[in-house]
Amino acid sequence: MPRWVLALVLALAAALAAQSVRLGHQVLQELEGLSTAATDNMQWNLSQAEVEHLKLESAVLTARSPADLPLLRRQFDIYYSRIATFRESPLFAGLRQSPAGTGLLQKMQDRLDRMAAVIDSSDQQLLDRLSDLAEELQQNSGDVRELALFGVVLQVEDSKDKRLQLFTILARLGWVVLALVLALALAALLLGRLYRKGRRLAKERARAAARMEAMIASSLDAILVVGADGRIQAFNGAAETVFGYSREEAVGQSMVNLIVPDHLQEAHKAGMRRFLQTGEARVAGKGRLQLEARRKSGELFPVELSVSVSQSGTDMVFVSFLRDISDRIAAEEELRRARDDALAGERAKHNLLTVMSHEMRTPLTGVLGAIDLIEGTGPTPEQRRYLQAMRVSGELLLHHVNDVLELSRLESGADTEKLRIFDLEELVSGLVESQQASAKGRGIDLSLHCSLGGKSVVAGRPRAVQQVLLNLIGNALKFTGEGAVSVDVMRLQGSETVELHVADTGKGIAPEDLERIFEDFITLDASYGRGSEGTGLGLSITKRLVHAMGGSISCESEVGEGSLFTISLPLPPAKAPPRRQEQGRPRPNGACRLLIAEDNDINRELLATMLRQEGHHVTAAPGGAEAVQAAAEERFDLILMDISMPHVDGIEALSRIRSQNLAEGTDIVALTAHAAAEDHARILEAGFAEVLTKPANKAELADVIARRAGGGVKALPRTESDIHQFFEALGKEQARSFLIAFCDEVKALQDQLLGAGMLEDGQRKEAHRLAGSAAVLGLPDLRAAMLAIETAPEDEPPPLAPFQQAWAGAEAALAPHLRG
Amino acid sequence: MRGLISRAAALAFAVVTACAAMVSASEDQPVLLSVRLADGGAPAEQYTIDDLRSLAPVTFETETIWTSGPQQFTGVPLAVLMERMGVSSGQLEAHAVNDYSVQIPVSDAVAGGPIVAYERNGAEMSLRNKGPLWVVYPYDSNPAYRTEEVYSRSIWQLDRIVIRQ
Repeated sequence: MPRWVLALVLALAAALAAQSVRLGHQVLQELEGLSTAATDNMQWNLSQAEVEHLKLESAVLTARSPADLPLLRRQFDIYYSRIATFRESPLFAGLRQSPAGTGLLQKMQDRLDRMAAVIDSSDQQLLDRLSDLAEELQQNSGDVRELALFGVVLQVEDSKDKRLQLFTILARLGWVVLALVLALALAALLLGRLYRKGRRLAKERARAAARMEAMIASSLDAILVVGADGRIQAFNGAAETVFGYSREEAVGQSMVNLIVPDHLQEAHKAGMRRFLQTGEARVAGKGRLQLEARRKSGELFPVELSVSVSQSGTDMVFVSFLRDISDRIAAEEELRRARDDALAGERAKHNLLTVMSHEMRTPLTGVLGAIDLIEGTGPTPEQRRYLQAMRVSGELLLHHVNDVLELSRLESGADTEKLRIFDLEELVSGLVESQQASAKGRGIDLSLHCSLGGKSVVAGRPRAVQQVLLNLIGNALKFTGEGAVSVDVMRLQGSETVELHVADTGKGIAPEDLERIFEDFITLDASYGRGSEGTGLGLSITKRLVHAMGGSISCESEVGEGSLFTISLPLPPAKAPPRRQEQGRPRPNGACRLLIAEDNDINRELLATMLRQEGHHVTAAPGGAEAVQAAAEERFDLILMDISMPHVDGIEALSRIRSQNLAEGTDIVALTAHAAAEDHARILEAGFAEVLTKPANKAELADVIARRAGGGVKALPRTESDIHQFFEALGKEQARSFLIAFCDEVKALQDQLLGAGMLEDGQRKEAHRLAGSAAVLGLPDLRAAMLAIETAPEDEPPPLAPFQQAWAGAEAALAPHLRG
Repeated sequence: MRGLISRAAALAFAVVTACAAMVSASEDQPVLLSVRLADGGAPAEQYTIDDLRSLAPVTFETETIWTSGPQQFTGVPLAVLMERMGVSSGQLEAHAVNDYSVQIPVSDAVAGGPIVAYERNGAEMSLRNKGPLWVVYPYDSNPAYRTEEVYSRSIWQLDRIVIRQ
């Protein structure tokens, strides 16, 4: 029921009450008028007129002597005065208005005037004419009576009017009072309903308040209600627990002083001021925030806070929910630490593996070199068998080490090969061809089917494709005892995707192992057995390479039936570069035009000689600037560039060559003594096609030339030691003179270092140069010692002990060659 | 000493003159109004027209229910007469020549209240014209004076007042 109805009813009742009061007052007046009517002045006057007339008449009749006359005269005056009242007074207007009354009054007045003339005459005349007066009065008595009767008529009419008027007023009053009663009854009804509604609302509110109270009290979060003045109005049980203040202590206190830490107080106050002035809230209503709060003990602790503003009218309060999240923060911290530790451990493990692998490679090269040397000394057949076993083991170990390093490189993302245009069919058929010997040896039929729709030239990463296929074909050959391995290369219809299938008829892989085979260090004992060696990295490397190329790899297999590996690679068809088409590559005889840049004389000569012996045309440059010059003058199929060179280093030389477009389409391969993955990454980033770690043996050189310059395919057997290669390459005389010079230089450096406390820059450079020579001569200890001196910390004395030790060993090894 | 004698002489002369005036007035003029206490005790006053005129006259204009049109009355405030009697409470009984009488509470006798009028419209009132004295209230200036009660107290042809305390 709307309020305004009640208001309207009450207003009506008030109006009716006012009206009834007014009417009541009128009634009272009327009643009063009626009650005084009996003693009305008019009635008195009328009756008095007759009385005074009689008194006058009596005075006239009794007057005998002049002594009686004053009384007579006075009585006349009194009567005269009374009649005058009838003529003048408004009370008798009714009388005067009626024609009869007017006539009567006039008649009486005329008579009065006649009598007055007598009365006012002398005493004697008055006494003489008393009879006239008596006669006049005789006649007057009837008129006075008539006048009195007139009064009765007037009185009756007046009373009737008043009665009727009173009746009307009373009737009206009755209606008004009835309406008032009705209005009051309606108002009472409405008020009753309002009252019941109010009762119900009050009960509901009480229930809601009780529920709210229970909710607040049982909340695990601290709840604070703070007024606009910043004082705490409510403080629940959880708040007591969290902050350490009792409710009595907290309520009425300023929240800032109580729980806000000193360093946040200014910000809080500024925020409150801003909010109260502008209404712009940065905390209130903005969801959960993480802040610091202070306990009674002064301890600061992290809280999660959410504030909402409750406004009713001008009364505004802030309701804050605070949760003590110390435990959570601590747990998060614990987890983070555990994770960091785990990651650090993982990294350390990885680093250790990489470093170990790298450090194993150099001594392994030494071992394999030594095996070569021993084989050259005419061993017995039995010794030769053992040596063969050693070589196989050593090469296997080297392969494993390389796998690990490869994985590390892939992991660091350093090995991202640039997109280039190549002939896919050519690459695949070359690869399959190279594996045919191995396949035949195992009695396996290795076949290739290419259906590239005549578009065999594609854009992609040929080296990665080659490695992926090599791994898969190698695996297939390895795990197929006898049977067939087939390689299918086909372009999906109308798409940029090329699918490569490698299928074998080998042992197959159990379904439960299919997912695992792509994981790191997985070898499947049951089906693949330890009969087959491997680090278990091959497929994970393959998978990484495929993913790096944006492709996918999958495997289907049945135990005992064979396996099918499918690789999908995005290899869009491309137009073959015209220049290469025109010039072609001197593939048949393997003769390539090569440019080598190397500052170390021995290395340069050795490298040039080795390559010339392979039938290549070699241009040797002693520095970066010379290499750029040579590239400008002549076209090469491949450039081999040392990285560490004085003045213009390898990276600078490459950037000059590339920026001047001097060797378009020609790969530039880096030669470096730095084996760290980071260095390789930096070098590859600079634009080198790949990195060869010094010392590069003949096989590696032949391989890189085969791949990069289209040179001889056959891998050169590595049959001789480094020193033999050196002598073979240079010729006896020249090699010996180099050796003598080398020994003199090392001795000179040793003498310098023995005399000096601190390393000089020149000495570092000399050590670097000699390290290169030592590597060429197959003196890894000496090389390591030299590198240690080159990179020794500035504020420490040079590591002379390992140098001297290495040099003693090297001198002994070189002595026979020096003698010729 | 001489000053005192001369003052006493002046006072004596004044008293004698006043008494003489009273005697001559009472001889020349009729008494219009007598005021006395009901128990017959002192004081009791007798007023001629000149006596009344000498008592701080008040004049006002009002309409009455007995006359037509506004009327100007001049007279002695009833309050002055009561004050002269040393009366401040009780009832006074007013009597008229025509034997009309009415009770008037002494509390009616206030400043701005009723007067004993001796002039109406600038002329003395004759007996034929409700004179010579008429108790008149300023009916127009105060609604409380326009009641039956007050009308009944407006006694004309007044000639004596008896005070009952």
